[in-house]
Amino acid sequence: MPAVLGDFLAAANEHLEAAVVVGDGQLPQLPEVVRDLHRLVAVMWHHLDDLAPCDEVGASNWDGLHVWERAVIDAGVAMRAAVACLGRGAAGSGDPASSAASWRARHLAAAAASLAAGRDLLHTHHAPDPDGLIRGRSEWAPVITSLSVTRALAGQVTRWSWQLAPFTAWLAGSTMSYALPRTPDQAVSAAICDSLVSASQWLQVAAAAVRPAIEADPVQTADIELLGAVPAASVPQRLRPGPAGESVAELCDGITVSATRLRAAMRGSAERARWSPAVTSGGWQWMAQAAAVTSHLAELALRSLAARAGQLTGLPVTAAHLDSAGAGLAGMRAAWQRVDRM
Amino acid sequence: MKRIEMAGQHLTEAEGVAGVLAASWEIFELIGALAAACAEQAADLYPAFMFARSAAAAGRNAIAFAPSAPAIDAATAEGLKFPADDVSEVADALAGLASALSARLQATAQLAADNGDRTACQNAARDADRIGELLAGSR
Repeated sequence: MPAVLGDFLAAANEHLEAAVVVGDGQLPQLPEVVRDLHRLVAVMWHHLDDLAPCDEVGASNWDGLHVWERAVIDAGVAMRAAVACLGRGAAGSGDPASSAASWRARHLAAAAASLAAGRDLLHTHHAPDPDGLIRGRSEWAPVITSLSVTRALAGQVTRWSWQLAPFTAWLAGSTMSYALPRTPDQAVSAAICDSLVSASQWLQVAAAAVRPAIEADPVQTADIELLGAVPAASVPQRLRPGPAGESVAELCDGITVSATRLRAAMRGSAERARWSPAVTSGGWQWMAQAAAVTSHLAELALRSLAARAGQLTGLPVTAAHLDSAGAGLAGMRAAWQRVDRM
Repeated sequence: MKRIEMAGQHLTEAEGVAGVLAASWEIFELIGALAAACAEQAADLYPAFMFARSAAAAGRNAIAFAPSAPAIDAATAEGLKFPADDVSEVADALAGLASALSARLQATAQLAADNGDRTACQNAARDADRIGELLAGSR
């Protein structure tokens, strides 16, 4: 099974939930924890930034923004401020100890890595064209920029922001306890504490920024399912039918793989246009034969559906409609065969 | 089926590179014509016959590039009608013929002194293999 975004989001969530557990009486290893928290919040901000249709300056002059688009921009601004504060905190808290990182730092680092991998997965669906413009390169590209995915991803990221805010405040509170035995410089400790307090507040602001959107247009279960189902934009290997009969599940998998490969082939069709030197008469003949076979298979599928539709009532299409479409495809097949034999 | 057996016999009896190339041309033409005729007769075998026809045309074209290919009558298999036999039997027979053709072409490729003949035989053998894969076990 190919990796889907839901795998990475679930892993990130698990690590983040584990990292923010407090009350075990242990002092955090501040440099490691702040550094990895900074990384995690930075990736969260990048996710929001990817969703934003424009920056805050553009948004101020754009009345037509959807409530979620505006929420993403506002939350992103707050998250960016939190990243800056955490960056100052990480720089001030010194180099991480050479000993093994604490469990809390490891969880934060793993959450950041999972979220970064998820973002990489999303980026596989877009690529720059020869003019440098970013274009979709998969059938999932419009899904990723859809309102549904925006709602789900922004909702998830800001929920984590809401969880990290009190954790960051707790870190700020532990700064003095952690620093006292190590650095007698109270000014440095206070500066780190201030940075973490500010970061905590900005994380709260980021979470609060999406509340109007959640109230106006709540995140649906289907949004979350769609977000989790986004796969990497890779073309699967050809799945040849085996010599033995295939199960229904195997047939469905095969159809999905073939459809994905066909869509990928279609996207590259501009490079194989008729003026391309790569096109040959043999290639045209092959294409005509493939079109004849495709028409034939589509006709068989429609005829089967027509037979089934004849047994059911209350369908939006009738058996006659499906049979008529099947006959149309039979005509197409005959036409492609004539092309093939030219 | 008789035409298939005869073509197989011609292949067995062929001598030298030129003889094998001529027999191969005849077989690819026959497979292409029979595949086109059979495609209409069995809906579930339509894709296999259509793609076999395509591979047969590719194999025939590969033979045409061989320097030792003799002048061949272009109308070898023209006008061939759908055989009276069962379509699955025809598919199996064609798969067997393609398999024998591939083996003979591979053997000839090793014996051919001319690079062009060698390449043509190797390419045509691949097309024969493809036909065998498409049509074997169609029952």
